[in-house]
Amino acid sequence: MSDPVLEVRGLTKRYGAVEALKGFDLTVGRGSIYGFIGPNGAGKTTTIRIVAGLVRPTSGEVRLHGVDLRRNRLAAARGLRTLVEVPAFYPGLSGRQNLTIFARLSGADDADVKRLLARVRLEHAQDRRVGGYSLGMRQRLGIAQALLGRPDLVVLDEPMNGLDPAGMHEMRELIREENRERGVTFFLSSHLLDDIQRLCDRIGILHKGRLVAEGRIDDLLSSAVTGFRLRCERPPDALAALARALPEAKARLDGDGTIHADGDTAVLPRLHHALLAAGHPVVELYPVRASLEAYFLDLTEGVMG
Amino acid sequence: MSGPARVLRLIGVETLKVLGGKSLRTGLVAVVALTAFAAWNHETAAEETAWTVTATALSTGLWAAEIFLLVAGATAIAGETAQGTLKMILPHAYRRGDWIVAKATVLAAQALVLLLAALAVALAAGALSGGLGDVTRAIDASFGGEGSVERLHAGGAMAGHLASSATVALAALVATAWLGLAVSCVFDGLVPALSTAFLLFLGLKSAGTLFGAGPDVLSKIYASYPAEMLSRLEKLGLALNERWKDELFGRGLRLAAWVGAGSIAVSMLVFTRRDLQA
Repeated sequence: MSDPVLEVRGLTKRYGAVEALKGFDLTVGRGSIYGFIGPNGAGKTTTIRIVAGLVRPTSGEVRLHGVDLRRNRLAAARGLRTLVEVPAFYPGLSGRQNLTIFARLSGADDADVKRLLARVRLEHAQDRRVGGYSLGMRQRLGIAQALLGRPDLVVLDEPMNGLDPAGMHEMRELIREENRERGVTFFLSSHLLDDIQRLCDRIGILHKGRLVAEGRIDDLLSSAVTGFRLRCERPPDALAALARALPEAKARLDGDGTIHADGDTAVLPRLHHALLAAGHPVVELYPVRASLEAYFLDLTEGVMG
Repeated sequence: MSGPARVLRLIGVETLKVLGGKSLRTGLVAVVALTAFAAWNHETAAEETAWTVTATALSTGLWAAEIFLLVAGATAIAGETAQGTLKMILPHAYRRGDWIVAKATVLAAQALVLLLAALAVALAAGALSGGLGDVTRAIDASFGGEGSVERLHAGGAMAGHLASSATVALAALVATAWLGLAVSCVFDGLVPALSTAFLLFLGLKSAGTLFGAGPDVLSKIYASYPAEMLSRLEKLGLALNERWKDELFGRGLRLAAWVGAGSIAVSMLVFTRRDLQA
């Protein structure tokens, strides 16, 4: 992995008797888009709050650019931008005034404010009070404030919240563009697994305060085979042979003559053997991988789709 | 970035918020209107002078300023927590202590603005109701002699007393705002922060040990006899001592300084150590 921007080591957080985080490690490489997913109550927001400096960990450490957040917050948090849960602004001030405040905090200039207002398509509403903004508009403004200045790491908690489909598409494009053109690293928490799959190169799945999976999405899903699609000569006969020899595979036939069989990689040799023994050699074979959603549900609820 | 540079930048941010919002403007309007109304409504007794009108009007304006600053202080952190902006600003590369110093500085600046507004209106009201010159007493002609005018107190001395009182009042206003700020650091919600701040403030006021020369006292400075200052403390403890005493100035400043310093210390201690969930 490239130079790490965010490193979490042995992170725990206890609220009285409740152990929200049970100690996990996580590394986010520079220039990556990292998806941080988990069911409600898994500890995602607690983790993000710790990274943002809002909450102190019970134990463990968080390093930003190699600098310990607790020991040297000023150096560690330089270049860090966050959007924790629902974006909030000063309701009596306009969108531009709000963004100007965050620009002063980030050391950004007015040109950056102007650029980002245009980029999130809020130019027309920049002088209106934020109190009158819709949730989607506030979300756009929230993303804009997170991109002010020269951020190295942008932590976004549910960035698509409140956006319509077109808005979500634009937001994905904005994240990709900032990542590609300005090298911004993103750490995204979302329940929209489709978005995570489209945007992120690596993911971490948090469940009950523990990181239960981490890695490149392709690598994780490649180990999550749920079945096979295969082609043989005389498909109906092959299907009948397979149903007799391996009934648990629940083999079925598609209109185009493709046979579908359920099972993981352990089933594959038996599948081959059953078909060969019946005189139906496999001509083509493709593994069917779980979707990220199915993989996620399997890990967190134990129900592979 | 050095510590002072960080604080200066945050003072700029806090100033933008205050100037962009409505609350200070509302507070200013309230203070000016109440000061003017008190002057207009004041029924001058025979022995009173224009200085009495000024002092009465100023005390009313400062009372309004005091309430405004208590609310401003009590909502400085709790308000940001409640509306969710604290989680937006705190992750930036500043120490939490920097935020306390910046917020305390801007609250003090607001106290000064409100005091100057009240003072300007009160002085204008005094000037319009007879002039703020020497305090004099007319001596009737008797036994064939001519009548004369005795100068009881010079206008400059009266202005000096008013300036001293205003200085102590400013310290009291700042201390009030910082007391609110300290309470604000403890609570996430506005209602508990505001109610606790008022409870503390009223408790300390009614005990008569806080703000010895604050607005309460100002209303009595020139109320019936020019150039006299009665403190509640003296009334209670030393009986009626009806002479201006220079040590009241120092005592008022000292009390305000203790409350202000204590409040900032509590703010620092609590705000830099607690988890922020809202």
